[in-house]
Amino acid sequence: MQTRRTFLVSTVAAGAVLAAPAIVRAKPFDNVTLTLNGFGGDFDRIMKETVADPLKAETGLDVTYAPGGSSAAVAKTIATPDNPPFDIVLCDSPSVPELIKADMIDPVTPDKVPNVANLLPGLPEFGQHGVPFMISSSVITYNTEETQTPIASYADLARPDLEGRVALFNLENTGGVLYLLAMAEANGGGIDNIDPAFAALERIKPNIVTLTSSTVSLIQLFEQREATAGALWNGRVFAMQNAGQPMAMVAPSEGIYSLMSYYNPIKGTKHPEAVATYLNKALSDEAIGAIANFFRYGPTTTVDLPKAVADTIITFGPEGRAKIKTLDWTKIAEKRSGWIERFNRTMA
Amino acid sequence: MKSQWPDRFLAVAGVLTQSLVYITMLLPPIIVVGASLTAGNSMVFPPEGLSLRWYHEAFQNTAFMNAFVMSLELGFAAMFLSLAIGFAGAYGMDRYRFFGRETLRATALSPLIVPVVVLGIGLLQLLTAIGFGQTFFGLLIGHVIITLPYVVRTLTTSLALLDRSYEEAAANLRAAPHVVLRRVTLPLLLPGFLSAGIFAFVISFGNITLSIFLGFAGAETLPVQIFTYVEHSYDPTLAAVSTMVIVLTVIIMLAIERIAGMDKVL
Repeated sequence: MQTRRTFLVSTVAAGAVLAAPAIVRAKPFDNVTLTLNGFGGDFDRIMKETVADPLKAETGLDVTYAPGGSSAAVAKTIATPDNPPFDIVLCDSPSVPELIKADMIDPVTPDKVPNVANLLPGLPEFGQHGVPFMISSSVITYNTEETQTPIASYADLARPDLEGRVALFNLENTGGVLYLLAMAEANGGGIDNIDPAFAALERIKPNIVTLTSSTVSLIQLFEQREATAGALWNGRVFAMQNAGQPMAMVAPSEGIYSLMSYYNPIKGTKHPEAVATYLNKALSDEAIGAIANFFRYGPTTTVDLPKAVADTIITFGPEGRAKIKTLDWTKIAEKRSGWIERFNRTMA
Repeated sequence: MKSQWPDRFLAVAGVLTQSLVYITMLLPPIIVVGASLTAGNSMVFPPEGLSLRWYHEAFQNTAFMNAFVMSLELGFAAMFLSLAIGFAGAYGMDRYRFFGRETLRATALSPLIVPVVVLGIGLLQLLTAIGFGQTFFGLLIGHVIITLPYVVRTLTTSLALLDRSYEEAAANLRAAPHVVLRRVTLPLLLPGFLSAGIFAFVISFGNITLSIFLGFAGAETLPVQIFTYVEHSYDPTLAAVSTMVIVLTVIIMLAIERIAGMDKVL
């Protein structure tokens, strides 16, 4: 006959057997949540699919992406150093010096994040501060149905047949800074001598239909055929081509000027190990490759891509990397407001 | 009889100007609605063929749908809180003379003068310091602050235009002050409340700057989601989402027309 004691013992034993798989299944980052500022849209989707979801399955880590613009995320992080809203901040090259200046970035080393060894040699612009995951480049684009003569350089945008048909970024958008530096260096100047760039801009001025800080406005102008040619981000030109627009993408003969997008682990995070695990996963071939494949911006690692994809990415691989001009973003930050003022005066 | 040509000229010019204003106001939403119905991959007008596929995409996009719900919740919460606080303030300033009344009035309207980005950074630091950083409550406080000036302003005007003889008649008939407020003042102010409510909701629903600073993971509003989306993606899903917002606005306007009549509210 079953006594009360044997019943209790057997119940506890059965409970233990049932609970055992859960104990075995316990993962290192169960109940840990990392917060990142997302880049929004397809970016967050791809990062979720290639980084967050696999990490959840493997380690139990939860990741949330809070979209809202990277400049605002940097400002928010610097404004609240004691309780930063993000564990990792995603931002582009121009914003990284601000985070370094505010001493908000935890350095990244190969012992913590082994996959940094996969980064293309000489790529990171800020030493151990920040992990680059994508290279966006300024390229020439033009409507092949509206102009038959190929455009090969920023200087070509001054051609008389393009009168009133050129659309460009202004310097509020970093894309504008990139073509400005390209034109400066192509004409014997540089960051410290920007005059040649403005002289070149004066020649393009009669052709300009619009100067804007908004990438979307620029795309609209090309798609609605209010502009024939201009300079735009390479990934955006690919997106237009993908949508069936007859827009050519040309690496300007002045050189490839790019910015990089970085993961910046923020000091004071409560979960440094989880952050390192995230960064390592984010540098995996799957994650870097998926972003490059979808947006056709340049990957930052030695990831292998199908030839058809690689051929559309102007900075792909070590050869592509060699074409990228190295820029001093700290110095650019110092000079930029002066350039903007002069640009607005000159181009008005 | 003297020629009336100046009058006729002005009348024609008036009609032309009116038409131009209406066309300018209506064209952007028409273009957005048109672009949302495209069968192609680009957000262009006129659309390349007709299809509802981008609406399907928008409904499938949980980020947009969650942000839409978040914006509605925040908008209504900010509206009700703002109406409650704003009415108390407007009523007090209208009916009583007290020390600091003008200062209070200026303070209530000051968020209109301070750039929202400055307000955003300041509020972020304040809310973090007092432990409300990255909370819905903090976000709500921010939205109440930016909607309050519109509510106070609208209700102050409504109170000033209110015929006080109705209240006096009620008081003469021995209605207690709270009964007068509930049965006479508030019903007479209904159009003012609706107007202030619309302003508050629309300002909150459309705000980007403050929501970027005070928002947090899991509390993204629709404008922030749209704003971030176009940074890297640009397809007609945006037009479909925007059309939903336009439809929502039209529904609200029609509802108000049925309840109180637009001419009284605006």
